[in-house]
Amino acid sequence: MSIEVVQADKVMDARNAFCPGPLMELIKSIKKGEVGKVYEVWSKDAGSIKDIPKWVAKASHEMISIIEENGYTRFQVRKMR
Amino acid sequence: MGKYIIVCSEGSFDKLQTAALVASGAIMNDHSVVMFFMHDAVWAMHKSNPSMNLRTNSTYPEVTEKVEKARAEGKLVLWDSILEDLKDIGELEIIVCAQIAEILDLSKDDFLPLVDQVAGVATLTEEAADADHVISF
Repeated sequence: MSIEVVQADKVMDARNAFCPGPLMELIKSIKKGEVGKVYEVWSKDAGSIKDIPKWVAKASHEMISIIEENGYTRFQVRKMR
Repeated sequence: MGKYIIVCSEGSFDKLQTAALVASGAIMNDHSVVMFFMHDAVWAMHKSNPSMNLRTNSTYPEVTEKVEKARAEGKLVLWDSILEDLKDIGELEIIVCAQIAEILDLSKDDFLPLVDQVAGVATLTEEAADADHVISF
């Protein structure tokens, strides 16, 4: 999945963290953030591919893009509520 | 949103880390969690003990070795840090068993700041009475 790539308002580099590090970084930023802003987390953790989109859907935010880079993945999420 | 009770009675790193990971899964999915620490796990909550306590019950030396390597490289968020983060993002209450605290001559101030209260098993069973899931480690 890579539909739209936007400029993120905040980027969290969690490539050095295993599960649940990347998702927790994303959640912490989104909880403290503003509605409408885009948050991007970078992860090398294999579980993030399933866990992050699942959490985003359940939390009713918008999964904008999942971008595969060389050895890691960028997840772009818009805070919706 | 549901409610999880997680009872921790063992103080080894692997059990505490597993309990913290399960708590993280619940909190990240918007459930509330009450963690009740008993027996050896009470000692693990002592201010001076947390991240220093890396003893595991692993059957396999390879597991211990690789986990230790991940920890040394800073890739593994340790259980006490996970619990601190969870308090920031969700509803997590941490209770230490009053009986063991008394036996060990420890009061609330002797524990990590993330401990909310020292209480008896009646508090645990009261919390568990309306919980959706009870898990023990």
